[in-house]
Amino acid sequence: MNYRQAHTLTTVTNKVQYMKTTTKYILASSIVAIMIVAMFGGYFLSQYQDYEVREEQEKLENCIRTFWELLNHKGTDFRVVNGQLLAGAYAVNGNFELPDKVQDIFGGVATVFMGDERVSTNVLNAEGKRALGTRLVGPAYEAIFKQGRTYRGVVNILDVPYLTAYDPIKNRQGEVIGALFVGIKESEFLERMHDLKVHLMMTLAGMATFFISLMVVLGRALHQVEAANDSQIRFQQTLLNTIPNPVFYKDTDCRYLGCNKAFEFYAGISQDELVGKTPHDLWPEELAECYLQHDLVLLEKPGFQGYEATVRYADGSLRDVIFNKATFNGSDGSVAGLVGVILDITERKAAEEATKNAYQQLWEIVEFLPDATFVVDKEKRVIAWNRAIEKMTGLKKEDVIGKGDYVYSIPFYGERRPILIDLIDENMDLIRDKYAFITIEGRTLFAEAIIPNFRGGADCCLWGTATPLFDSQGNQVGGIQSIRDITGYKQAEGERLLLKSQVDQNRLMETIMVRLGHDLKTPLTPLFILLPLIRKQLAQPDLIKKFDICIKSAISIKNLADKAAVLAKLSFRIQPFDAEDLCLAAVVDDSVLTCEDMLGLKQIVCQNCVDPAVIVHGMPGQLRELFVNLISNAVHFSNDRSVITISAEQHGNALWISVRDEGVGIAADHLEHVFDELFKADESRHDLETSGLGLSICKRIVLNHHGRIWAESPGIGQGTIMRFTLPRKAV
Amino acid sequence: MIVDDNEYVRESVEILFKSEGGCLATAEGGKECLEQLEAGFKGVILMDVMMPHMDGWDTIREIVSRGLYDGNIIIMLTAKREPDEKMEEIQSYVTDYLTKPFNPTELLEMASYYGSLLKETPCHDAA
Repeated sequence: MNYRQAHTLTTVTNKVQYMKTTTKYILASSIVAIMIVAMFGGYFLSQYQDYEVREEQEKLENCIRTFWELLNHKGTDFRVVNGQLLAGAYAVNGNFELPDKVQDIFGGVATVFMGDERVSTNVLNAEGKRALGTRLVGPAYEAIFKQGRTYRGVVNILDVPYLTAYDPIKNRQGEVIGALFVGIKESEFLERMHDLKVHLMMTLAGMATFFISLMVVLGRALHQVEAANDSQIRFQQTLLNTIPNPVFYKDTDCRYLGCNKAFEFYAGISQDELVGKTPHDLWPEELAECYLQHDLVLLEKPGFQGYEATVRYADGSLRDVIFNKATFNGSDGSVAGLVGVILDITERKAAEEATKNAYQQLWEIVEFLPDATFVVDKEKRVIAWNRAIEKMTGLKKEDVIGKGDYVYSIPFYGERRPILIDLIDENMDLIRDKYAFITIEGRTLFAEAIIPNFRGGADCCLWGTATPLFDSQGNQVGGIQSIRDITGYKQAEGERLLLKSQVDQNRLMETIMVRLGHDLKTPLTPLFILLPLIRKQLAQPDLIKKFDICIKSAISIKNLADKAAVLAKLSFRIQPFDAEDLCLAAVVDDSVLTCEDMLGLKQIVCQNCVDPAVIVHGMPGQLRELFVNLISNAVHFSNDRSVITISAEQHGNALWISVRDEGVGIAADHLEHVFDELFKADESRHDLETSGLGLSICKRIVLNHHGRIWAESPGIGQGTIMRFTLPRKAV
Repeated sequence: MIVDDNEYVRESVEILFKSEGGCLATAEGGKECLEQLEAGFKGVILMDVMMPHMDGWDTIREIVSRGLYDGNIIIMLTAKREPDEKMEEIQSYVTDYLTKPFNPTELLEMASYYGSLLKETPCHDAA
C-alpha cells in the first residue's frame, strides 16, 4: 500500500489499519509467548536435568559408598596375590556377591577392577553374559591409573553410555591396584529427559500451530478487507474526480496528500506530483501564504472553515473562489489533516456584478423617467423615488427611501393612507368609487384622481399607473407606480375639442360655398349668353346703363363662383405635397405678368424686390395663385399711379414675404378678420367686383405650405402690408 | 347639338345660334342624344357633364360602343375646370372643353371652327 493510499480518509481505511495493527500485535505476542514458553520450558528442563543429574550423582555416590562399605566390610587390606584381588581375605575375582548386592540396592551396574580388568561385574556383554576380563579404557582409565584420582562422568560401557563413578583401589603402599565402578545407564535418564523435551516441544508446536492458524485466518480476513478497501478507495477517487470543484486534502504539516481531477486541472500538476508538496511549492508567495495561514488557523481550531480568496489556475487566469475546509480525525481521534473544496464563484461574482449594474441602470432609468415614479418593496417600503416625483411632491429622496407606512401618500392626501399602488389585486368594485376613473389591465391599475388644493395650490388632476413587480421566479417583490399631472392636458384637451368644433364649422362653411359656387355656374350660363344678345337689341341709353349693371352683377357672381371653386380645390383636393424648389423671384415675375392688365388699368407699378437667389419649397401653381390674389387685392385697394412692392427677407429660420401697397389700409380692429371667408372690411369694399374670398384662398395656400399669413397696416389710408412665411427647405 | 339637362341653358344656346343664323339640335339627356344620333345626326355635340340618369361620360361611352361616334366632334361643357382623371379612356373622344358659364363669342367661334372641320353642318330643326 502506497503512501497516498495509507492516508486515505475513510473509516474503512482506519479499520484496515486497525486490523493490521492488531494482526501485527497478535503475531508479535504469539512469538513472544512461544519464546517465553520455550524459554521457561528449556529452563525448567535444564533445572530438572541438573536436579536429576545431582540426584543421579548423589545416588551414584551413595551407590559407590555402599559398594566401598560392602567391600571394606570384607576387608580393607587390598592386594593382588596370584592374579587374585583380595580384600583382606576376601577374593574378589569371579565373586559377584558385592556387585549384585549394589545392583539390588541401587539398580544400575557395578564392577570391581583388578588393575584395568573387570574381575567382578554385572555389566553384561552383547551376549548377555557378565563382561569379565574386559578392560577399562578412556578418560576414566586416565584419571584412575595415570593420575590416581576418582572419575565421574558419562562413559560408554560396551557401547552403552553410563553415568559412572570410578574410585581407585589402593594397597597399603597407596598404589592403585584396581578400581571400583558403579554406573547407571545414562539412556534411562535421557529417556526421561527426552520425554520431557518431547512434551515441551509438542506444547510449543501446538501453540505455534494455533497461532499460525490464527495468523492465516486473520490474514485472510485482512486480505478481504483490503480488497474491499481498494475498491472503496477507487470508488472514492472516482467520486472525487466526478466532483467538478477542485478538492484536496493535506496532512497536519499542510502538505498535500491528494486531490481530484479538477484540482489537477486547476493546479496543472498530477496527483502523484502533488503529494508531499506544500502551498509554497505550488503557488505564488502571496497566495500560498494566505492559504497556509488559513490552514494553520483551522488546524489550531479544528472544525469547519470557509473563506473567499483568489486562486491562480494553471492557465494563468485569476479566479474568485470560496474555500471550504474542514479537519478530519485519524483513528486515534486526533486531527489527522484537512480536506478542502474550492468553489469557483468568478461567474457568480460577474453575474452579481452584472445584476448590480443592471439594477443600477434600472434605478437610473427610473430616476430619469419623465413621469413621477416610485418603487416599493414587498413590505411597501419605498426603494426608489425619482426626480420627477421629488419635483411633483417636494419630498426629497432621503425623506422617503426606506420608509413604509404609506409615507408616499402624504404629499397627495396629507395623511397616511392606501393609494393606487396599495390597491393592486383589490376588488375593483370596492375601489371604483374612490377615483374619477379607474380601470385594470392584467394586474396593472390605471386611475385618474382629482386632488383638491394639491400642495396648497389649485385642484390637480393626476393620472396614476400602478403595477406589481416580479422577480425572475415570478414572485411578487414589490410594486411600481407612476403619476402624471394631467391638469394641463385636460385643459388642452378641452381647448382642442373647442378648436376642432370651430374647424368643423369652417369646413362646413367651405363645403357650402363650394357647392354654391359650382351650382351657380349652370344658371349663369344662360345669363352670359342672353345678356349680351339682349344688350345689342337695346336702344335707350338709360336701359343700357341699367342693363350693364346686370351684366356686371352676373360677372361678379361668376367671379365669386370661380374663387369658391379655387378654394374648394385647395381645401379638399389636397394631393400629395408635390412641392419643388422654386426661384421665388421668378414666381413673382410670372404672377405680376398675369396681373399686367389690371395693373395697367390703374397705372400701378409692381416692383419685384425678391433676391433671385432665394429658393423656396412649394407648389408652383398654388404660389402663383397666392401672388395673383395678393396683387389683385393690392391693386383693388390702391390708388392710381401708386406702387406695389413685393419683397422677401430672412427672419430667423423663416422666410418672410410681403406684398406692400400704398392704398386705403385696414383698420386695426379688422386686421385679424381680413382672411375670413366672405369678409369685407368696410363699406368701401362692398364692391361687386370683389369676391371676399381672395384672402381666404391666400390663407389656405399659406397653410398648405405650413406657413402663416397676416396683415399689417399703420391705419386707414396708410397702405397695407400682407405678410406670409414660406419654408425654404422641404417640409 | 347641345346636350344639357338645364332647359334654360339649352334654350339660350339655341337662341344664340339662331341669332347668328346657325342651327342647333337639343337633347335634354344622354338618351335623347343617342336617339338623334341613331336617327342620323352628324355634327358638333356640346355635351354637359353633370346630368341625371346618364352623365356626359356615360353618353360618350354609349355613343362609341354603338358605333355612332364617327362624323361627330364632341365638346365637353364643364362646371369644373379640369376633366376627371378616371375618364382618361374616354377623353380621347373629346375634342375640346368649355367651362361654364362660357363666353358666347368663344362658343360660337369654337362651334364654327369644328363645324368647318366636318365640312358640312347638317341642320336638323329640333322644333
